[in-house]
Amino acid sequence: MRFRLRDDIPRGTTFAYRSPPRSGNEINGLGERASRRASHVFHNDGTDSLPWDALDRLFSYVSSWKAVLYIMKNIWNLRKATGPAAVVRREVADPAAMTREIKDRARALGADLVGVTELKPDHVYAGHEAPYRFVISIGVRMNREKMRNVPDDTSAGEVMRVYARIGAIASTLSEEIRMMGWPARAYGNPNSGDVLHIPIAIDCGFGELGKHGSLIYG
Amino acid sequence: MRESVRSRYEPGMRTVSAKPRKGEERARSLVDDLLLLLYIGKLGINYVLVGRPIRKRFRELQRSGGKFYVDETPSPRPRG
Repeated sequence: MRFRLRDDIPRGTTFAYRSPPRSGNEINGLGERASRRASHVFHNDGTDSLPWDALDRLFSYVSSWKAVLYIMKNIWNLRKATGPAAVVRREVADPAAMTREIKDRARALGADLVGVTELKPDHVYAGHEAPYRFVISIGVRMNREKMRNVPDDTSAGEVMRVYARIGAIASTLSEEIRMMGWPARAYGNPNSGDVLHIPIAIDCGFGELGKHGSLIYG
Repeated sequence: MRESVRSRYEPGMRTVSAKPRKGEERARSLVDDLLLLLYIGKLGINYVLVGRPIRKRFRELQRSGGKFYVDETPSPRPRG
C-alpha cells in the first residue's frame, strides 16, 4: 500500500506558550541512565495539576462537539469502573483456561484485540497505585477513512468514539471479574489515570513502540 | 433475648455497622449516577459557554496564521 503525504496541512502550529512549561522529555528523564517511573505531563484526569494543563485545556475547548459528546459518554461508561468484589470467589485451577475465557468475553463485548500480562511497577505512573497482579489490554479498530485526515474534527471524533467504546467494554469486563470474586478496575482513558497503556499493550504483544511514542500495531 | 445481646457490648469494643439493605444500595447508586450526570452536564455547558469565544478566536488565528497563547486559556475545562 502506498501512502501520500497531504499537502494541505497548515504549516506550523496555531498554539504557543508565552512562558513554556518544563519539557516532557526533561520531566521523564530523556537521556538519564537510571530507570524511574513515568510522570504525567499532559492529559489530566482531574487528580493532579500537570505542567501542560493549559494546552490540555485549549485542546478540550477547540475539540469538535462530537468529540466532546464521546468524552462525556466515556465518563458515563466508566461510572462502574470499580466496586466491591463478590464475597464468594471463583477459584482458578487452570490460569490458561481462565485467560482464554476472559479474552473470549472481551471479544464478545466488542474488543478486536485483547491481551493479558503481569502488571509491572513500570506500568504505573509515579505517585500512583494499581494494586493488581494482572492487566488486560483491549484494542478496538478505528475507521480508517475517518482517520485519513488527522488532525481534523472527524478523526478527533473517531478517536473519542473508540475511547468511549473501550471504556464501555473495560467497565463491563471489570464488573464481570468482580462478580467472580476478584478485584478489578477499568482504566478507560489511555493517557491519564494510574497506568501507562502503551507499555502494557506492548507487553501484551500488540506491537512495537514507535519513535513518535505511540504503538505500531503488528 | 435483647438483654443478652446488649450485655455482650463493652465500651470501646469495635462494632461493625449493619450491612446496607438492597434498597439502600440502589438509592445510593441512583444518587451517584445523578451526581455524575450533573457533572457531565456541567462539562457540556462549560464547553458551550466558556469554549465558544475560544473556538471562534482559535479558528480565526488558524486562518490568519496567528498564534493562540495557551497560557491565556481560562479554567476549568472539560476533562476526558
